[in-house]
Amino acid sequence: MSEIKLLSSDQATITVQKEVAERSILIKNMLEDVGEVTEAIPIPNVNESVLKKVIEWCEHHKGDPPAQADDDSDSRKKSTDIDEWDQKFMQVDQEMLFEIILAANYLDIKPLLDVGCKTVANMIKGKSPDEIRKTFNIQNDFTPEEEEQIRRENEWAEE
Amino acid sequence: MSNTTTAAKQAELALPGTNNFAKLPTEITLNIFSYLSHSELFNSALVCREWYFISTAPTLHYALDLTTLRQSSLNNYVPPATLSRHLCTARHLTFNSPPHISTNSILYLLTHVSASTNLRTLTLSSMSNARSASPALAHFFAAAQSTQLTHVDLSNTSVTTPVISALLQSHRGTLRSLILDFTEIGDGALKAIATGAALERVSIAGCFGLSKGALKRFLVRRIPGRVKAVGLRWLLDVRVAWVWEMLARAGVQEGSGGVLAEVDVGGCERLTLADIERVEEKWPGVKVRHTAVNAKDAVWGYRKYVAFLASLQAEGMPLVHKGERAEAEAMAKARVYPGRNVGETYRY
Repeated sequence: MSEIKLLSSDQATITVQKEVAERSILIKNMLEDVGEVTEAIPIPNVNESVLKKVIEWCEHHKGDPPAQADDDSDSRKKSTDIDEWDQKFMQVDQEMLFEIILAANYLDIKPLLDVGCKTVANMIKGKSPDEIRKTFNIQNDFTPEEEEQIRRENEWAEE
Repeated sequence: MSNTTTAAKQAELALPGTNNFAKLPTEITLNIFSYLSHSELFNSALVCREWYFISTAPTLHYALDLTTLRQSSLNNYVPPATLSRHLCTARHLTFNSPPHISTNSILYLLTHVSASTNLRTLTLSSMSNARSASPALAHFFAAAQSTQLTHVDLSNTSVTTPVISALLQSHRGTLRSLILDFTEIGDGALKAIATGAALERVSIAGCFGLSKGALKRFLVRRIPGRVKAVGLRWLLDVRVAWVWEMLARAGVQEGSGGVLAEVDVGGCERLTLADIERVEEKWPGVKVRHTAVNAKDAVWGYRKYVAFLASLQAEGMPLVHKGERAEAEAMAKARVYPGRNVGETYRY
């Protein structure tokens, strides 16, 4: 079982099984290109705590079958079901959640990115615009007239 | 439920003053929004300007299910601006037994859809008064600019033959699946369907407007070569010989699966269990859905006998038993036949 080293943005070195690290398509492709590496691979966009969290996820999911290419990219995905372990895994503060999403995007770990996106989608679901703003600290930059206008043009979508 | 508790927890844990969304590239926000329904997207559009633009992106509205659309949302037939934009780029459009909107309004909305070159699936099922709307629907299919229309479901909508002719005329190269269950199509529609070179799935269950001869010609000689599944539910005329010849012609190798892999003859009451078993034995690769229960073709044999007697009588031949003659006459008159199960009758 070969191991490789990863160097986080804050210069921490993390040793990880090659198989686990290869859940990241970015790292997998890199290793295929350069072959054997002895020195740590720099991951400049991800800090130590986030990288550890991401590796924890990869560790748990190392045996997963490779995700099949989804051809339904044009239809809206319906299910926001998340398996239990992943749900627990995602119970972190909001900043960490978004950092994990960004790291998954950068490292190209699609299943983790999707779990993250689903988690955020679940935070939006069932909320009024005002509650959404509060949840994510978003400023309302509409004038009342604009808001009314949007409300009117989107009436058809109300259930 | 646990999802929402997680969400609630995360909401509480949010750091004051940071908008985490500001860090995300638009494509990730789009990915998140792709899990939201239309009404949730509508709420998101009201959050802020950026969310408004992202939530109205065409990619999020490729699949439009307008089943619950209300007449009152349309201003004198004219759809709101966002809706008409989405209609022009729609890929999957569904009106599944729409309860709150008139067929005329749907037809008017379809004029927007005909501009969509990407329309792939269209479901217009259980629309009311579609018979009078058939010319407009035929016009829609003739005018639709989609180059990728692959699936059309018009089941329980009383469309007529010209609609199907127009549909096949313009989209025969792409149309792979056509569901016409319980429609009012006539024999001409079968001719049109026969030209569907790309068709893989055809269902004409319960189309009672089809003549026996046309149905036979279609099944025996005209099923397009790529068809994998045929739905013939409730077509009471279907005979086992037709199914047999259809499978033989479809190039299905004996003892193995071929192109034609599924036939639904549920409710085709002329087929007995013995018939089905013979078909399954000869083509084990073909999945035959059926509702036949009688092991022997006793009921059908009896019917044939009665019909035979009736034909003899029509030719002026004397009947052997008086009782049978009376029964045959009564049946021929009322066109009521004993059903498969005791005490049950089917009325043609």
